[in-house]
Amino acid sequence: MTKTCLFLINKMPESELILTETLDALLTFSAFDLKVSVLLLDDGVYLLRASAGHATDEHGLSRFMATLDFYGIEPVWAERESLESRGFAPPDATRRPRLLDRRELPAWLRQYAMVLGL
Amino acid sequence: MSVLHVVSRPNRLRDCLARAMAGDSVLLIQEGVLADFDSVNLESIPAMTVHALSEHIPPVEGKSGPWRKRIERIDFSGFVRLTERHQTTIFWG
Repeated sequence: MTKTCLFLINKMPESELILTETLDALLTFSAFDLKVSVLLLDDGVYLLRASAGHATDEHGLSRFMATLDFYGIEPVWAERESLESRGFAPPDATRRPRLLDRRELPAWLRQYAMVLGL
Repeated sequence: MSVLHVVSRPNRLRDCLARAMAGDSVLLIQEGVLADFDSVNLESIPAMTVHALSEHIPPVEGKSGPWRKRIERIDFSGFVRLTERHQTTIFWG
């Protein structure tokens, strides 16, 4: 049975190096046939804004979502309340990220064999 | 399955508690030991254990209140045991 792994990003990366290492870990897990998902919480949702070109790209943030796209890593989840409290419009249902309500999140996390963070 | 929430900054306590559930544990480390539990709505917090790394607790604590009594001081060995007891660890820093 394939192991499931969730990368939980609940803050903005403090440097490009951290972002690069997170991407490296994501791609490595993915290469070894682990089922990888990404969850953006709190300030982690700003990775979406950077990817959409709405913010300055101080640490190469736009590369993050572009790399996930390029390697077909999905699903990418985002917490609805984190997006709303930061002024993000609800994403189109057919596009990333998938939305998760905060009240569902504690139990939802428990489906993953591993949860890793920045 | 239970989660160990490691809080290293005071302002992340609320973020952590909003995503915790009964059976989880919270461990305060670094500046997280200064988190203000007294400002948190106690009824909104699920049943869970709260710990603080004794190495990081300042000699004089300014805060007191019902939550302070619930916090168990642990050392680094206790930290390791907590990670063994829980299937997953999430950092809030």
